[in-house]
Amino acid sequence: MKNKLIYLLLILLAILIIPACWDTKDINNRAYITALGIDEVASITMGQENIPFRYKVTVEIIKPALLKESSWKLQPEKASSIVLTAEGETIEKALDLVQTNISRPLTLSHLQILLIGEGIADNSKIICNFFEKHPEVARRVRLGFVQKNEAVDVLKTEPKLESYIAKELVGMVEISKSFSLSTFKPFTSFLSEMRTNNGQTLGAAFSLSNNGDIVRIGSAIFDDWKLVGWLDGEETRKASLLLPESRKITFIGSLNEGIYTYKVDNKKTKIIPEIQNEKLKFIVRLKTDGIILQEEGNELLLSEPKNIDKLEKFFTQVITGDVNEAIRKAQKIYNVDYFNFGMELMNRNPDYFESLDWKKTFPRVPIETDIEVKISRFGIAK
Amino acid sequence: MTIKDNVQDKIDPRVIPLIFFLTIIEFKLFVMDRKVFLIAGRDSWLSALIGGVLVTLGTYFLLRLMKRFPQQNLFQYISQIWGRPIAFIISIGYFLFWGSYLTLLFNNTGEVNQIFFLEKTPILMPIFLLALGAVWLVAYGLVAIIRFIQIISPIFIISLLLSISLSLSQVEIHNFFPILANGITPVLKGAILYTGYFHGLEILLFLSPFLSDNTKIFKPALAGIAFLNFLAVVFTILAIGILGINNTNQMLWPGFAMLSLIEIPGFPAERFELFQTVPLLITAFVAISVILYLLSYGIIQVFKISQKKTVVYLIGLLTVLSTLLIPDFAWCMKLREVHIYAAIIFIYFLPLLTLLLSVLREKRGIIHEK
Repeated sequence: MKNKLIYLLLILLAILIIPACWDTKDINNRAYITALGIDEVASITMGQENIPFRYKVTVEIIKPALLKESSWKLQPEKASSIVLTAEGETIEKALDLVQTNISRPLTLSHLQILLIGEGIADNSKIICNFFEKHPEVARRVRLGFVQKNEAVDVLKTEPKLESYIAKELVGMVEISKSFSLSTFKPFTSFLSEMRTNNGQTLGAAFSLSNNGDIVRIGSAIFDDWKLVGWLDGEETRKASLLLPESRKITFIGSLNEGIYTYKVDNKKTKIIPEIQNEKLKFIVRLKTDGIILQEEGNELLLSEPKNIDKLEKFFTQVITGDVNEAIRKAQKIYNVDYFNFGMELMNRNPDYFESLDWKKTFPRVPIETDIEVKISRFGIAK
Repeated sequence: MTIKDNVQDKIDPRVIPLIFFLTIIEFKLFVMDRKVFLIAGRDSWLSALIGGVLVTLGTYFLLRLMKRFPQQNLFQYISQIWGRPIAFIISIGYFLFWGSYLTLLFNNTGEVNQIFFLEKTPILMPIFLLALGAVWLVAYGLVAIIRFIQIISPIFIISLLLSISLSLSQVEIHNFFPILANGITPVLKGAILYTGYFHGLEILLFLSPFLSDNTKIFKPALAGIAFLNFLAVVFTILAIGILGINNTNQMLWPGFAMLSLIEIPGFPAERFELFQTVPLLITAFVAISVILYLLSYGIIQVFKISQKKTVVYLIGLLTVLSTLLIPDFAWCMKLREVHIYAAIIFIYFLPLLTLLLSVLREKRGIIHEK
């Protein structure tokens, strides 16, 4: 019995102390990176060697002890996070340099948002590969692309409502999921779509306004994993009609000298490929349901069914115009199938899809629309 | 000392589903059927479904064999069926199969631990600690292992069901289309390969002497394996539905990636997936214990060795040391893939042949009176 007790104590002691010799990981003694931005730096010559391309990595590291204070004080005396920047030939090398500035070991285990600057967005594949491989990074990390400015500029912006910038950015991403002026794809979905759709998709856009505020508006367009352009807020609003997610989309139109605002709060989009006599065409079937929120000028009595019918017909035209414009942008301007028409065809008729050169086919394929608008409510006043 | 014909502490057959869960799942919760994903692509869930039927059928044949020899284990009756020389060769084959699997299990545990948790700790250290616990448990026999499984299984089952329920909402249906784009052949290939992921199922052939009632084993065993298959199908569906097949094929641990997508608003800890470390360790430990038991007690029985504990400790030490033979993680992954084929032979093919031969030669087990 005595021997067994000694044996048990020895095992417990071994379990407790042996791993800790190498890997003490005190959560109070780590530097948690919550946001990370990557920008491009011009080539440099180091000694004899010319380094053609380098990464500028900016990290936000939170100070956990100050978070509680910052959360209830409107203007805390001390910032609850620090933002550091370093440059390197690879992301890891840049992070090594960041490490030289702080006293605690860096960890990506609580990375919430990853921002990629416009200048380096063409290298998204390599960048995403790093974060996909990294064992500390959780897949729920949000991915965004910074338009015109650098990621470092966004990360150095003072948060308006939250105690640190990563939290502010995550909040902005989450709230934007319900609205149509910007798009968002989780890290995993972004990669999945890029891998399935020849590197074509839309990415979340961030930018800075003239007065230095962060704005979540528009979308980044990718083709063959390269950033080929941006959709502004208005274009993204139109494009969101063809995207599968249900978002709130606002339409404005004038009819009989009155201006009306129709807010869609529920929509269903279906992209249907049809092959007739060896000729391919698509039908976009869209059903919207929403509310009339604002009337200006000639006001209609909305409690009258015929007026609602009139407005429904009118907004069908408005939305058809917007959908056609969104399709034209994708087909004719960018030649990028970010609405996944090709994927829909592949899902239904993989053999036919394989027989096409989709990149060449997409810009010329006829796309028809079938739109049904419903106004189910008009608020609490006639 | 051998695996006893009669033991005092008998096991209720209703425990069998729990034994299956904790023995078979091990790392598959995180690795899942990687090779099946590569072959069958987005139709892997169909492979899991068809493979599940094959596994259930295989389990049925194992049960038939078990019923034929109700108070003996495989090593006791194969010599009656195959003859001594062939039986000896088969036994050595099983020892190599379990020995290599145990080595891979130890190595996998060490590698996962190093990648996710303790990167600086030498890989042998956690393996050694795990082996120490397993050896101790195994030294007390199968009943002790099964009692351990009974005690620990609620933690595993609750966390598993919680993960499934939290992941369900993230499934995107379009990730499953087009269905059968490459025809049925890859699906069938995947289904056959899928059956090879059920290492540990062969424990059925060694349970007979420990069960309180051998006649009531069919129902719980088949229900257990069917439920395990159902869980495997659900996990396959979740992986494809959430990650998409292209992402899934990029991942070494699709299950871990899938869990790291879960976000629970208001949950005090951000990294929910790390809570799965506990079930991971439990299943790895149970699988190691069961395989170590089969290997060491099999050797004790075949070679008629009386120093039971010494053999268990020695086998434990040897398998831990044999992890040093695996050069790196890439080799470990490769060897695990190859081991699937060995599993098909040792879990299904050899027992099925044994059953056929026992029927043809009209061999039945000796029934001791109680």
